[in-house]
Amino acid sequence: MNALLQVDNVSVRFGGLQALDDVSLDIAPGEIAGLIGPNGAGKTTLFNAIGGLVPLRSGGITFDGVDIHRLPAHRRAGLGIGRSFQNLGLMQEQTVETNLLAGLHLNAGYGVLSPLAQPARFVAAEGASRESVTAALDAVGLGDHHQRVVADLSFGVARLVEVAGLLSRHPQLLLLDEPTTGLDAVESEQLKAVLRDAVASGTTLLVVAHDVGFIMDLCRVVHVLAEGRVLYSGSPTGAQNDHRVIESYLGSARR
Amino acid sequence: MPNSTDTRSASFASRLREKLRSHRPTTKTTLQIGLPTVLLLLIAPITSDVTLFKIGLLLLFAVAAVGLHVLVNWAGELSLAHAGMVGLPALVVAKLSSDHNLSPLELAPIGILIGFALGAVVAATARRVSGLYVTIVTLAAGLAIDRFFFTKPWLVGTGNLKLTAPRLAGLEFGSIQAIYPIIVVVFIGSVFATRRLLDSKLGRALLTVRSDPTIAQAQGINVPAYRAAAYMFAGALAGLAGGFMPLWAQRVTPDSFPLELSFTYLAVVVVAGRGSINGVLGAALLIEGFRQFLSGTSFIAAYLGPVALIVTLTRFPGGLNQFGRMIGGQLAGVVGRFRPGRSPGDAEG
Amino acid sequence: MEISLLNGAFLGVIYGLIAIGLVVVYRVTRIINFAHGEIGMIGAFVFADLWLDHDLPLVLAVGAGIAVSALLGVITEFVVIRPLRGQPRLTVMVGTLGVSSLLLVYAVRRYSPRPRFARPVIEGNGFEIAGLLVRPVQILTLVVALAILALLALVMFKSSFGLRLRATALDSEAAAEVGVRVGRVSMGTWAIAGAIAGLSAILVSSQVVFSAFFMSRLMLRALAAALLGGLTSVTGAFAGGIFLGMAEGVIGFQWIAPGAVEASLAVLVMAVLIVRPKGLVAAEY
Repeated sequence: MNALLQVDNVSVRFGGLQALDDVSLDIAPGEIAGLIGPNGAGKTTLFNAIGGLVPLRSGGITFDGVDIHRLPAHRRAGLGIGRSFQNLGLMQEQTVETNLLAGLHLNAGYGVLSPLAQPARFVAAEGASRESVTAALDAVGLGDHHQRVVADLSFGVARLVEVAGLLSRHPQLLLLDEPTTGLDAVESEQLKAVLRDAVASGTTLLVVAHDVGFIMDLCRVVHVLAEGRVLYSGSPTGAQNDHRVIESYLGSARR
Repeated sequence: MPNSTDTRSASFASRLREKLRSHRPTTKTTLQIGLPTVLLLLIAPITSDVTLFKIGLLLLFAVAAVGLHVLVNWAGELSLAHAGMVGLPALVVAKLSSDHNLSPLELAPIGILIGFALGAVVAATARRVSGLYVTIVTLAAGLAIDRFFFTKPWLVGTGNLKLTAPRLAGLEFGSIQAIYPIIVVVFIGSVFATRRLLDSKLGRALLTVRSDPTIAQAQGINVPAYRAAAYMFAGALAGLAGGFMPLWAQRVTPDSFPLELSFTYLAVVVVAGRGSINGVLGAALLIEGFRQFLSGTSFIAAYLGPVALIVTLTRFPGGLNQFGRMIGGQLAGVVGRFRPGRSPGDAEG
Repeated sequence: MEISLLNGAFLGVIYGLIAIGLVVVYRVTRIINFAHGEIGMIGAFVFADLWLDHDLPLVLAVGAGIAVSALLGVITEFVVIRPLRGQPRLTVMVGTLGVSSLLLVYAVRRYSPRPRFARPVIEGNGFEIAGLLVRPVQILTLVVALAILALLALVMFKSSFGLRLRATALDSEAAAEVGVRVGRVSMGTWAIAGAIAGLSAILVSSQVVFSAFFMSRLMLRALAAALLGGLTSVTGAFAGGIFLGMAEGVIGFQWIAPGAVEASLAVLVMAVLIVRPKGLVAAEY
């Protein structure tokens, strides 16, 4: 079993709340996995646990053969785990270009003091970073948005900017937290195409979305989370026919 | 290959364009550094020694203020020990110079090391706790420097420290006119080095940390390390300014670095606002320049710092930099209107 | 040694008293009010003016001093805190630094930076405890500090203002949603903190060198005391103050070098933050 990401019996508690209860799941390399479940099921908490933003109470997480559950968050990002945030992982008051360049922190190709110590290397590496920013924005059709301030963009456009930035870092594993909220149908289709391209070039995806249609269309594997537990792991069609999933997920949606 | 010449000429053209493009920033940089340097140097022969002395003090003040600007306006942290971080290096350099008959010019770089070390001490807590607590540490550190180090005869001497005449590599710098270019180089050098660092991954990482540490972590930024780095950078620039103080002022006492000076530095960077170093230079000229040159009107001089800080903070949070961007935008609009080809039929640009 | 400990404890009462005022503001606004000392200082100057120079009765002069400080607290809230609501905490704290500097500049220009005469609010020969001559004003300071602690407990836990105050401290947005007028709570808090500042300053003025800087000089010690109590506990802050005072008594006794206390304080603050970032005691009140 050569999973890229292996979550083993992970539990997370916040005070009296059991946010994740003995959660296990595997993500194979090159896979597009969906993570669905009603509100408060623990989807974002699972992302935070994988990314290193909340401590585990018990359990372990292995990424690419490395036990990461004790590594600080920035080291996990360094291993190739990228993630989006529900309310945008962007600096609102900065331009799109500054945001994307800031996102290329690990890919900058020079040290902190290089701008002074190795000016030639710095200039060349910055040029390369700017080119990859341009390429990333072109890929989502926002080639003319370099100097726009994020706060002035619509939420959907800003989301595409965020995803473009994440993909420009070529992460091995990309965790997307509700990427479809605030997107119109056209943008949603565009996002799907961009994500499929990314997977074709070697990125593995784990996507949380309320938009079940989006998940069913995009993902080959679906994990269903409810009240901090994994209810179901398997094919999307299987999930639609699983009575526990229907009960918890659709039941809660009706409520 | 039928169109090999085509591709070759095309690639030559694109290479040339590339070359020109990569060359443009360097000429631009040369101008950016050269013009202010020349202007600052031209001031020297046309002013009195007293005025020149004040200009030099102002330049060193600005160097230290730039350090605090990076800490406050880029990293979103706060230091109340900045005066001490300028003063302690200044006094150490002065003491070494007077005790060991060494040129204060050769000793000046030691100031950077001391400032950096002081920043590193504060940074040790910045790695553990959030900005509010680190602020208390800076307050404690500033007070400890002021009350402990500044009262020790082994550091501040018993009266005036008699400084050795500045020399470097056999050259004597006897007059203030001769020393002035060194101060200009220190000023221009630190401003442009800082500008370059802020326009690189360091500056962008600090912006991200200030904006949202969680996002910064997810982007692979080592948040505690960068917060600590901001304190060390601010300390290093304060130490640089302090290290050159004995050379310029010839006489350094703890009275030159009162606790209130830390507040003045803070007022300057608040009035400057987030963003460019230009705002700091403007604010330093406004607040410290006012104090240096117009101390006769002491009422305004006394209230200027605190009032400017409160008004800027609550009414114009963007500070001078916001103001500068507005003017810049207006100018760009005006220039754009006269640019050729924009609107056909217009007169030549 | 015992004398320096006891003497230090009475010093510590002063630190603790000032620290209580810092904690009152911190609990509600989550910022450190750097103007706390200066707000009190102005009140103490007004009190000294009225009592000593204009021969007003003591009670009236004390009342006027406290009122001026409370008013300054309210003005600070209105001019700096309110416009900066929602800004990063450090920004708001810079605002209070501005107020502190402004008040200091005013006092120095109005009254000169030189020390002036301060008469204790109660006089008398005092009495000896374990070889230490304790002055009545020192006892009064202790009594007032304990009374303020008791009063704060009453206000905080028994009054409707206290309920609104605690709700605001917990989550100001949620409090606003359930109908708490957050602005009024904030203003009330600053008035209370200002009054405490004024009263502390009036009591302290005759126990230290009474110049425009007398409260500013005590600020770091008060802050360190509050920090020892975890910044949110008034009793913790008071206890922290007494602990600091006693430590200072011993250090000052052993090591007379100028600045030794400040240097030790800086080391202590850093050590506390590195070892126990949440403070040494974790008290709710």
